[in-house]
Formats: sequence, structure tokens, C-alpha cells
Amino acid sequence: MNDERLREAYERGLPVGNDAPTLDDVQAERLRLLVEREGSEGERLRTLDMMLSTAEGRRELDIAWAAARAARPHRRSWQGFAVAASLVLVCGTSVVWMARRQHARDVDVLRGVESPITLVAPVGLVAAPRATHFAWRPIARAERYQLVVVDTTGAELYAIETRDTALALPDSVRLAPGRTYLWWVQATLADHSTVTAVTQRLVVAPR
Amino acid sequence: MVHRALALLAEPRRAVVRMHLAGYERSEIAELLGWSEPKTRNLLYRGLADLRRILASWGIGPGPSPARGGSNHE
Repeated sequence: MNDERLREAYERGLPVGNDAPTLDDVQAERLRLLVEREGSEGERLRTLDMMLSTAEGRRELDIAWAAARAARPHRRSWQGFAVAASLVLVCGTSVVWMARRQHARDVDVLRGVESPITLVAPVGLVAAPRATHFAWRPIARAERYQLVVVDTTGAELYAIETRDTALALPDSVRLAPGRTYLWWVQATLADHSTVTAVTQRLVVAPR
Repeated sequence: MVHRALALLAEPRRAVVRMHLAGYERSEIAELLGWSEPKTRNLLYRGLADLRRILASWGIGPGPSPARGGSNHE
């Protein structure tokens, strides 16, 4: 059986559950240790085995790994970010969709994976100090950007317009450890049309 | 059957073979696990050989493939 056939058989046998993240706090911490290469090798191998045993686990791994790479300042891989963007959990819940609609003021809005705005960080499981620092890649003809952060109920935590492509949340906005948040960026272009990034998911690492 | 066979592999080999079958490059496997490329290559080679041996013992042979074995690693 060659590699291709092995891969096909492997993919066919991969359990697929629902799209909701299923990691508990302990698993999330193990995942963080894996992607940040901390802890014992045996523990990291067991975590890897667990993550790759389901399609959802693999997606969680990809997101967390992309975030860990982003946190290494001299080893950034933009290709990794692109892969992460394509693997990002697009929160299709109606709550999030409705939250986004409240911010969509123009009809000329791009959504989905075609969006040219790449959200860089924070993505996936992120340690608390880094969770409040947002960054995205600039796009041509953008005059300003709107950053929106919501929780999983769709409640808006923070929204601000800026000409920069990176900013930190003010101290008044607190992200709770172990909680999941969603964020996106909407760019307003010179012709007043808007372009919206794919929603990113951020999980603040438990203490 | 592949997943059942995977469960029988030794831990380091299982991890590297899982990542390989999931489509990760060897360099990515080495990066995530903090291993050297030669170590990763060696474990992958041996892990795939183990996997094929287990599958063969269950009567799951190479089947029709363009080349003998058809593997990138053999």
C-alpha cells in the first residue's frame, strides 16, 4: 500500500464530530505545551496523538500551532499564517453572523475565505499577555480598519477604528482565561467600499 | 483499519506517521516535535514499515499500485 493509498485510508477512517471546539482546560493547556515545545516529549507525543485522532483536533492543532509560530518574532512564517487562515474556524453560528451584520454598513462586503485581509494574531490558543495584541496584514487602498472583538454570545467587547494594522486592547477590556472570543477586521477602502476579514477565534490560555 | 494499525505502533513512530498521513511535511513534523530532520526521517521510515507490516499481517497487502510498494520512503 503506497503512501497515497495509506493517506486515503487514513482520511476515510478519521472520526468527524461537530464543528464546536471540544477542548477542555486541561487539553487546551496540553495543546499549548505541544505547540510551544514545552513539557516532556512523551506528554507532547500523547497530545499530538490525541489531536490528530479527529478532524476537529487537527484543526485545533493547526490554529494553535500557527499562533505559536506567530509569537516567535524571528521565525515568522507568513505561509503558516496563510495556512492557518484557510484552516480557521469560521464561526457560522447565527449569533456571530448577526453580530457581524450589525457592523456591516455597506453592501460591498467580502466574506469568507476569499477575503484579502489576513488576521495575524492572536489566533487560537494564546497566552493571556499576548491575547490583547491584535495584528493583521494591510491591504491595498485601505483608508482605515475597524477591529471588532465579541464573545461567543455575540456581545461586543470592543470595537475601534484605526489607520494602523496592529493595536492592543485598553486595560478596561479584560479577556478571561479559558474563554473563547471572536474577532475580525473590516477595512474601508478609498472608494468607501468595505472588505471584511474571515472571523478568527481566540482562546485565552487558562492560568 | 489504518487507524487500528496505527494504534499498535510505538509512540514516536505513531506520532510521526500520523502527521505524515495527515499531510504534514517532514520539516513541519521535525519543527513541531523539536527533532532533527534525520531523526524524523528515520522514525517515519521505520513507522511506515511497521504500519505496512501490520496491515500485511491482516491480509491488507500493497494492492494495485504504480510501483512496487509505491512508497516515497522505500
